[in-house]
Amino acid sequence: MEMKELKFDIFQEGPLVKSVSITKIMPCMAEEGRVKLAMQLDSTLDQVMPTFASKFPPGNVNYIPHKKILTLNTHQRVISFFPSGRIMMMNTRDPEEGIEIITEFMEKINQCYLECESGNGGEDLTEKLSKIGPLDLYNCLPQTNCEECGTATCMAFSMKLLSGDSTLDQCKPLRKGENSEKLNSLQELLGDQLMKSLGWSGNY
Amino acid sequence: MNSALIIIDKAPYGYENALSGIYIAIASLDKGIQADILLMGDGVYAALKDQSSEKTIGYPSVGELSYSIFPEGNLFVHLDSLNQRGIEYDDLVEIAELIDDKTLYNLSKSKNHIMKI
Amino acid sequence: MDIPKENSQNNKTMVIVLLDGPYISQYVNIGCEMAEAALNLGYGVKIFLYMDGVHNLQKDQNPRDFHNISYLFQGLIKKGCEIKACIRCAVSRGYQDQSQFLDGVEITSVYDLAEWMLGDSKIITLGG
Repeated sequence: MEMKELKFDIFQEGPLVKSVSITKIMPCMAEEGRVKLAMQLDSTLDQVMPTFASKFPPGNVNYIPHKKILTLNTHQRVISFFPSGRIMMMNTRDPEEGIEIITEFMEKINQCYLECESGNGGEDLTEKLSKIGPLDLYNCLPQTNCEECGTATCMAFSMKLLSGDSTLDQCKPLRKGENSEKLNSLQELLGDQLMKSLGWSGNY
Repeated sequence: MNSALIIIDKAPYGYENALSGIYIAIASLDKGIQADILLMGDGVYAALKDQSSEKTIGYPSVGELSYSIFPEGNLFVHLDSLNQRGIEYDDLVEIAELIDDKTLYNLSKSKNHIMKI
Repeated sequence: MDIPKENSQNNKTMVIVLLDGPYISQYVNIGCEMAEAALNLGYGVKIFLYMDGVHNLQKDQNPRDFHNISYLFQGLIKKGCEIKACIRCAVSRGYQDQSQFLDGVEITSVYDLAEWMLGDSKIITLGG
């Protein structure tokens, strides 16, 4: 297999990661015609990995803390991030698609880096998130089973939040004045960071 | 679920076995078999990081190739073999997982197929 | 002598992976003997030749001091043994096409070995 090194400069001003190289393109035998990409970022991810890992709903995440290896189930494929800055992306259409997707993640990685630098990150939120169960979330929801989010019950919704199949933004009633207490308790339970991870974009 | 353990006990580059064993693991994983690689004896050298065989001897890097099995498959490195050879855990590729004899025993019992290449 | 066919009703298969070339060791002979015994008992047998093992299937072998190993494989094929060899290993070692190999063997990829592992089979690796 030829070693073609394709380098892509993505963020000229990127605080941590500016460019990514594709180090290997392998056939993905599980899916006919798709490929497996090995990529290398221009920086190591040692420092930001714990913060980065906490940005995603736990259902999509397999994080090995003592090795700082993060595997995500996202964009209909499995992507593994290694502390050395290496990335393995499965089930991809072609290198271009791989780069498109990785650019999104590079942006997030840079954000995490800035958070860590400003002292906001660094906390191992993945552990905190792993201790939060659907019942904890349910207790902070309106509990009216109104179905506005597209799910039949608030309990089912809280399970979907954790699996990454729903976002907090989908619960419109949470933004209403009558539920402000619930929203506060949710904020207390999760904190800013994890609220975002579970798909909360709003101001409160 | 069908599972396999591929044991490699020869050092890479000196013998083709390490490379060939990894290819079997990759093929098995693609067929949905829960395949893991166990490096024992001189096989543990296959997990050393920063191997640069492509530029030096025109041979695919075995350390690099082993990443292909992750995360579906595991790369187990036999602890005693590592210690006997004076290799530290930090010298290994990121996906290497240390395994002691007791865990190895349980792992072997759980596998449908065990092959030593 | 009538050897009872113990396994004639089920699909249990013995898969033998041979890693050594011919004559370098006894492993190939042992593998072939095991295969024959299993076939006689009514089991299915599949043999995969990997790495130097592919040389065993070369059809023009002419050992002066030993029995010709390729004859063993021909016998096994007649008894219904399925034999495949790794194309990566074969091409590396200079085999360009089927014509250099025995009739009835298939030059294919290691993914076929993985396929064999999926059935009701037990794998034995010899040599290497």
